[in-house]
Amino acid sequence: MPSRAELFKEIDSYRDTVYFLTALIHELSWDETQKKKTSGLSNEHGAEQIYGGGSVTPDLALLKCPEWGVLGEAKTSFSKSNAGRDKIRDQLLKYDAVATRWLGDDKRPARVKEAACVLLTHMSRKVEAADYLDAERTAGRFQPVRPFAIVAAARIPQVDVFIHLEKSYGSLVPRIKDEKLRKTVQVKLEQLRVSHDPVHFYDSSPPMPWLLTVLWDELLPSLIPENEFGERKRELAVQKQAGYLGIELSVDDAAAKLRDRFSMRLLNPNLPESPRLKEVEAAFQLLVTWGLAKKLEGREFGIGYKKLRNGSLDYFLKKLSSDKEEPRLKTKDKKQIPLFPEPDSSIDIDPKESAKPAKALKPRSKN
Amino acid sequence: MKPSLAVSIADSWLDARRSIAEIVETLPVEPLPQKLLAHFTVINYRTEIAPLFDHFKRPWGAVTERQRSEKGVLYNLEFEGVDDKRRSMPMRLWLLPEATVAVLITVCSNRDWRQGVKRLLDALYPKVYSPFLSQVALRTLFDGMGSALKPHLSMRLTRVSSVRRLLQTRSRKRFESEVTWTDIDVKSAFEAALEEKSFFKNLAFEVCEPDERADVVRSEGTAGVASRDAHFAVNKNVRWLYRSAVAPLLDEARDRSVFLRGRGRADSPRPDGVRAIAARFTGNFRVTTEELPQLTAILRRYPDASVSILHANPYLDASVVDMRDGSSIELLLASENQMLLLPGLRATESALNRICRFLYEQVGEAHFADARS
Repeated sequence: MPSRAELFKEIDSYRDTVYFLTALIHELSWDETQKKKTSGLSNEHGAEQIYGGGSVTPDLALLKCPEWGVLGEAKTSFSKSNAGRDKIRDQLLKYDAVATRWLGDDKRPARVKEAACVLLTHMSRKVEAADYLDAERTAGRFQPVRPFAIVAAARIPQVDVFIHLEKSYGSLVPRIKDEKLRKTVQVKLEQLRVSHDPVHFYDSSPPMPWLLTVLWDELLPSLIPENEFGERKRELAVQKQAGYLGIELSVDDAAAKLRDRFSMRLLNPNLPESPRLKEVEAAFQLLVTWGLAKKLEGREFGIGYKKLRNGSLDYFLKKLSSDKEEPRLKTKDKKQIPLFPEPDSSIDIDPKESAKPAKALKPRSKN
Repeated sequence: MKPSLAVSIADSWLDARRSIAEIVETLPVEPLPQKLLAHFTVINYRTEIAPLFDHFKRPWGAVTERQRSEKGVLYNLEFEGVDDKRRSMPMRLWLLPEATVAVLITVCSNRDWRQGVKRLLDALYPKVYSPFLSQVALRTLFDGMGSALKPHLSMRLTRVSSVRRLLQTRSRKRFESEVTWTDIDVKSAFEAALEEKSFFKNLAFEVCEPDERADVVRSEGTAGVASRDAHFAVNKNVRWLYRSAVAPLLDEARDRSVFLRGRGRADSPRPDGVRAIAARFTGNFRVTTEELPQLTAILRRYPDASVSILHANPYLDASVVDMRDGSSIELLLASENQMLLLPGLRATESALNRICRFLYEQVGEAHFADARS
């Protein structure tokens, strides 16, 4: 079981990856000449792309047909193991093949005129990633046909928080963006949040406490009728004898709503499903384990909605982490100190004496 | 039982056979007897308001119909006073046309207003909410009231209940509050508050005229109270109060409701982003990273809500679920001088008003505006 800090870090890094991806999409979608969002963009992030030998699902796939297309993979922490790195390399080569396919050939028409692949990684990993890929290139194991670039990203806590993007290796299309990213781009976090619906999930599996928090804080309250909150809450609780607000919903329904409202599907409703059904199902199972939900017939669950102590995220982190609260003293185990201790049996008492009723204390005589 | 003086005055004044327009046009100038005040309480509502009144019944009180005509309804608010005795108060509800703003007009003492009207409004939340006034808005209203007086008259504050935020100190308390019984002219009171970075909650005022005998002022006889929660009352010159304070307040309330309405993502799906509100800190107020722990502690104590801190350093991201109506609002502080309120799927006017009020009171002087996308 991971510690609370580890879980929190995982969420943070997941959310940062979402921010980096959306910032890069935001940047690539911006039309420099018109000073507005480019029209006619095709968002295919997380969608299946065929490369010849099979299919892949790149985290980022943005096309401006018939001009350009960009494919990308977000690997914020790159990988420390060689096997992991080799896997990333192979994946990027597959993306390269997809990019080539986008350009068309004898059999199929071209989707775009130029296409490139991007590895999106954290600023702290950019040199390692570049060194590794360079070595692989020299060794002949990594030779992309289409332009390839590493884009490094970081959240910069200046006075205002920015998402900083810079191209640190290779080249990118379209050319104007290649140049812009070479000179670094800073997207204000606030700007990113205001101009986009909240994308909380991308193609990769979200950390469980994060999925639960979005479910509990954002989706579920909107499904409970407004007048069941507040003053009527107590009355309802008495009616239901449950002590909380109730809502019935199926896993499929919850999953569909999470995807439609909080995933990359906000950009394109035809994108594949993330979070995946099994993840949402696991989340519901956890709620059942913690007594917050009840399994009903079929795929339906009854959820007892209530305010969780210290906020939902804190509650879920506590439940899912290895750090436990200090065990509280159980009153049952500790007997109260008797007010009138029973006589110690080890002391010899004259049976005759003890049989007599206890003498009442006499007031001490004055003389 | 003989009706009390307040009831008989209100009965004749707020008669259901008179339309609101007639009432407003013929507001009395002469003083009300005893400690009675004519109260105007401005509220915003989100659902049909009349049915809420028709069915209102609580252990401490109820609303009944006293008189009805084609021109309007005179309600009767029954409530339990501080002395545990049942009291009743005639009340007229004025619904503004083409807006979700209403005014409750009553004649009673200030204490009865708190025991009756205030409780009624609290009980009707979140269907009804009071549009809170910022210190700047309150000052503008007071300036208007002052300038609407005859030139030789002036307004003075006799009781000031003020609050000073303590975010930037190491205090364990969130704010410092005090009530001062004083006699100070309005302008200097507001300036002193600006200097001290405090804001007013309630005020009692008096209209004064110069005394011929010496270089002092004496009361002209008009006295009243005002609160940040859009409530004004006066004992004399009701017409003056209505024209100079209540009428502009109605515009403010109307704008507030338009500003807060329809921000939930489920109400208005927009492809180009969320309808976020930016709380722009005014003056020199800034939240620095060192103050974030203090700020998180304040947010965690937001009443009737579940607050999860999603990120606390170096920027603040908190998810707030309002447990009074199930609204979710995300707070993002990613720059020094403003905080973003990002509405979730459900974000009602009342919940947004409540959190804006809370942030204004406990975090810092701010101006609320549409966040630019």
